[in-house]
Amino acid sequence: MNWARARRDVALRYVGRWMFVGPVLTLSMMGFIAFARFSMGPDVEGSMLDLTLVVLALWLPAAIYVCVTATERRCSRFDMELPISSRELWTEHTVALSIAGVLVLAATTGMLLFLSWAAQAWVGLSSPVFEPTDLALGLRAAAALLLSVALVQSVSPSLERIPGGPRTVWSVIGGIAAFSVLGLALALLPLAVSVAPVALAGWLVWRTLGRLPGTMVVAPLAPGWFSRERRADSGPPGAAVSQGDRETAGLTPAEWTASVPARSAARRLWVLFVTVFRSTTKMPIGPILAVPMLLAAGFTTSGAFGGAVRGDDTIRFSLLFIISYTFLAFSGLPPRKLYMLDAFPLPRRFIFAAMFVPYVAILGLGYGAGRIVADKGERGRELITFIERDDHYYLSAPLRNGAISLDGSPPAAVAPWGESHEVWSRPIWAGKTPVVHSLFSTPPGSSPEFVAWQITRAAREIYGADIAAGEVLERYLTTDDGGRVVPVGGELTLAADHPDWRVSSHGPIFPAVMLLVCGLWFVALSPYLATLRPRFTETRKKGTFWWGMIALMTLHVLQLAGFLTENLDHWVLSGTSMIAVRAAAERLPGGSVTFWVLCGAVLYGLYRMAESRFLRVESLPGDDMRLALIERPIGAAGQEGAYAR
Amino acid sequence: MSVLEFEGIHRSYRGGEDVLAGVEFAVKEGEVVGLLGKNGAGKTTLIRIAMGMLEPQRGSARVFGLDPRERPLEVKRRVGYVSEDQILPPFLTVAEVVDIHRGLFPSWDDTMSGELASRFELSPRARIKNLSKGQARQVALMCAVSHRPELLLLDEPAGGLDPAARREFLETSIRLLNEEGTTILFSSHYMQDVERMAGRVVMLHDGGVLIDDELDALREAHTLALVPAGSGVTREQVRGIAGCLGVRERSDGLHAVFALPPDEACGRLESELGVGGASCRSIALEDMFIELVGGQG
Repeated sequence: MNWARARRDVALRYVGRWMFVGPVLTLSMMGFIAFARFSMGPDVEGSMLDLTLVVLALWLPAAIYVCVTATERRCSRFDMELPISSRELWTEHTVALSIAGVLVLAATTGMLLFLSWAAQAWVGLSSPVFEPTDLALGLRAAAALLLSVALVQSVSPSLERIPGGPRTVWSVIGGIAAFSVLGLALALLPLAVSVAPVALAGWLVWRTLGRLPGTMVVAPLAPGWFSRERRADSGPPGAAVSQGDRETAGLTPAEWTASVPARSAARRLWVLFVTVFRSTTKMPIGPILAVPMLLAAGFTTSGAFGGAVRGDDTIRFSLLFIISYTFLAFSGLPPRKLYMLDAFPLPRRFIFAAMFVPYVAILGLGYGAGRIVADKGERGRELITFIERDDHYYLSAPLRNGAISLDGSPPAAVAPWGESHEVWSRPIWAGKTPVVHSLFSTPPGSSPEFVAWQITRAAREIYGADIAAGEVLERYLTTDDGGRVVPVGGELTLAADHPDWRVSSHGPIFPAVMLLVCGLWFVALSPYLATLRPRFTETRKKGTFWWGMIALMTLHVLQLAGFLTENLDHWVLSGTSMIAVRAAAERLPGGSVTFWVLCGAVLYGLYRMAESRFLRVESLPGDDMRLALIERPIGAAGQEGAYAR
Repeated sequence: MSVLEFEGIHRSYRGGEDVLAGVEFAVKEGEVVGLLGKNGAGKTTLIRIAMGMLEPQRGSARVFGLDPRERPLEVKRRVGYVSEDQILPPFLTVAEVVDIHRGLFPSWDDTMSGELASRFELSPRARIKNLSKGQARQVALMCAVSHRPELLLLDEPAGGLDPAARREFLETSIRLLNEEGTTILFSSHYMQDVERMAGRVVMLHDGGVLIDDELDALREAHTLALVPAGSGVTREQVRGIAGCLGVRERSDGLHAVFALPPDEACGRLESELGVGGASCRSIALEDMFIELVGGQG
């Protein structure tokens, strides 16, 4: 075992960035978990779900790194050509992979420990989500990780790289899922039980080493689990000649021409589009990671989660920066593979659109699906309710139907007959002047008529429906023995009694979200695209890309810090953002339509800015080296890192 | 009329050193030009500049009178291009690749593609990723010529092809196209191919054009002179003779290349340096390449 070679292993070369990205992923996931946990109420007992989610937050970044990003190549062709035994090469890669996985796991465990400490020290929280037992959890996850590394590396161990393809992908997905379950099972058992997977890993390593031939090979002699029959003479991994191919190889010119019928223009355009996307994207790992992530991102920004649970969209504006970051992470490599398409007379604009618009469309698709869920959830729920607190029934309506007071002094609610009351308000950022406030507050001392008047206003605002204050007073409100205004039957049933009422539009939120997310993405992408010329150093190219990534991640982390320190609140941020968007649209001549057009125009301008940089990109073979978090070089065999002239 | 023009092309890479430093030549309609130079001389860079894939830092390239960076589609539709490191989309079948080209090139000739595919024994159902390197190159070549381009830019087109396929391709397809008026610029390290195909040779060296001449004239008007060891003349002295392109010190003496006929070269050696025992003969292209760019030039 040669440590110098092990240090050169791809798993250790790129582990540094994952020791940063992993904890940030954990932080983000824990933010979700904490939010979901506390939205259920502070008194809920710790559950199996809590533990499952925490194990996932701890384990997933390391599992993704080990199973997706760093597994594929066991050794370089250069190493294969040297007089080094396959046992040495295999051992070095397996050790490097194990160390890398444990390092990422250590970083995510460190983040969990920090969160546990911060939750208790800063916020005074003691909850099943933030238990100071994460070190033991980390040790258990490490045991599962070592077993997963040994298992993955025991498959076709003599191959210099694990071949790509659907089977590999499904195996990886299945492996991550299976080992997540193992990690969870270990978390429930005594720590000592973790010795078992480590011992199993050791046995697997011993068995694999015993079965290794003298040298690594580029293709197996017989079909394996991961691949179909492959030729061992030359060609890229996965090369195969089927019987059908052989049969059609000896066609006459006329037969050959007849076998390639001309397709319709639409079909041809689709093939071209797919060709551009697939040629510039690491397949199939890229879409497998991107599609669910961006669908989930769109779903979340639509307000589906909060809207379905409590009538107020809560976390839809809390993830915008991390979504932009995700976009940027997926767009690092594609422009560097442009050389594959440069010989075709294809407009660069078409190529740019084919590379990146699908991601935007997926985000939009997730948003649309989320809106369907959110709208359905809202239709079946009372949005105007009473909340009993401090021996008083307060009228509650979605915060998005409130208003913003920049000077911190929201106007009192004044009824036509002169009765006035202060409204509920809350600083947008703790300790700062601007506040978001309700328009429909009914503080202690409100008369039944005032409450009924506020309900009619709320109904008009939320549903666009008119209901007479007298009807509300008579049908829905009463006064209890203590003189409090309370709903008849304990709760308001306005929506249930008026099935024809439809929730009014939230305002043009979609264009605002798309502008913010995609606009930030294009802004961060443009400087990077401008560096994609051979005269810029590799350090400059990568540096520009990573500055964009770091800037977006910093925005996200700052936002998270705001939430964790309780200076910022998901609910307040979401409500404030929606109020601001609606207010902006209302102030524009033409209203929402103008807002849509303006957002579209600005977004298109930013798109064109990035596109104009892309038009001048110069891409050469060997240029597509590792850059993004999930991408690997796919240059022609023997060309990796080469700089052809 | 020039189909392809390079004017004062300068291009450097990240190291800052100019790969091309003022390259200037033109290719006329119907010409077949062999582009020679040692590895790193800038042949691929020059062809990529002609394709609009790279931008010159100074100077300009014109293809059919158009700037390939400004009007890439108009240029690429009329150009056939194959390069050594070209990668066709590996997930497509040969038939799909052909169909894509058919859609992108209005002048696509199904008969020609069928004939080439049949000759190369390519299966329309085979995926590019399942082909050998040589077969993949054959698909690329088929696609490059089957739209009957007005200009063919070939960067080491025969790399990876076996000798029979190489000969087949060069002697049938390319010659056929050239007979129809297609202009061809191709780089190759196979001197036999260059001698067989090219009417004119451009040799790049040290960032510039070292030789630009008709192949026949090159053979007739260039001489390799061997000045025996012990004749008492130095490299610098020989290099100073008018018409001397390069001198190398070898174990048997000095090897000098002259842009002069053999008699004249020997005459100048004798008259200017008093060297009487030099042997002068016409030089083969491969020898000229080695003598001129092989070092100590």
